[in-house]
Amino acid sequence: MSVSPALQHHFDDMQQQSQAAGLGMWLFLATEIMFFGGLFAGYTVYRWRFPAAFADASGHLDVRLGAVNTAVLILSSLTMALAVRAAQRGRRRGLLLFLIVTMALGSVFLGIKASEYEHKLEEGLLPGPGFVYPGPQAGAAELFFGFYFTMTGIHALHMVIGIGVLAILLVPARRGAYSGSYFAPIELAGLYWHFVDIIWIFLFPLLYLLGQGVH
Amino acid sequence: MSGASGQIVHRVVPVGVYVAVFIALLLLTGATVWVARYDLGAWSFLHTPVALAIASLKALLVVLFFMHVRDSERLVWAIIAAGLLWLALLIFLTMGDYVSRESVVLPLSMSTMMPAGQDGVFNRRRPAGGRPRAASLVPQRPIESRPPLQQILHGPRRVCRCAESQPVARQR
Repeated sequence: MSVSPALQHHFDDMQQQSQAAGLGMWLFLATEIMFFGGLFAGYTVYRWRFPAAFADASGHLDVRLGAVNTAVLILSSLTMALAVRAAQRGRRRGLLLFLIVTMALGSVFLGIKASEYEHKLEEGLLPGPGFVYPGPQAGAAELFFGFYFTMTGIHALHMVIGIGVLAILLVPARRGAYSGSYFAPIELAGLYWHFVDIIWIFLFPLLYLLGQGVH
Repeated sequence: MSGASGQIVHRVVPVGVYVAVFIALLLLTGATVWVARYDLGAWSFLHTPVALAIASLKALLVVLFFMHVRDSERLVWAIIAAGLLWLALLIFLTMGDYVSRESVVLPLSMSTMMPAGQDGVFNRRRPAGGRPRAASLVPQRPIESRPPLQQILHGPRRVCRCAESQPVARQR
């Protein structure tokens, strides 16, 4: 096996190095599961306590925008996977293209999210002193919107970080630093991007679709 | 490293596989919206389990194909399994507590051993003023409303103190 310039001295070969990198990333993602897990557990407790109020409050979210955002994020996962594939095959232009498309789709997601937030703020649905709720059980509804803003907000923060990571990787990608023997940074950024996608895959039904069956 | 022998590392997956997974994910998203709007009648309690099942299937597709776990070594599988195991512990043990609070029956000796004013974590923190907390999990109860000691000592087995006044009922 020819020695790649990317091989660090404490690894035997590139295969061992990339497996170690992947393992480290997966360990990080396991901590991320627990990070979001606390929010999901809190959501479960209060939804069990106030099922009707949560369903009613969920009806105030725009399912159409949520579904469009889900599709945008899934498409961005596809382009991210294709970016990793381009890196594996040493296609510099393809890698750059797919990275930029992925970042653009991530930005579209954040833009739609921002307009949703703006709407909710106008309606007075931000928990706090200015919270206004038309239905009964305003306290429980406030809890729902607390979970909504916290969970989607932290998810959006992850998206911003993901876009930042991809932006940083554009520089070495442009230089042609990645090839079939070394593309770990792209692969790991992809793992992160897909993980954030998976979080949204669960947030969408739990937050947006909850109120659909009631009406 | 285990599982590395004889394995093709960095297998380049055909584009068609990725596109097929993408289309499947889109179809499943459409399915979950459709099911959520479908009137299941008496079976409407199935809405959430079905939605979570579809979401899990979507996550599985992403993990196996987009995240290349299908071709990853066993150690990666073990890390994912550990993460999911702890997530399940977190949610199931938490819910096991909240769901069972109405029905726990303690022997008399245990229920009388609780010091006054410490019925439960939630009852100890009582807001001095301000607006009432609409969503505290256990209803607040003044200490005076407790049954007198005689009644506690001579009564039969009784439901534990945290549930005797007002059960933690789910609001409708």
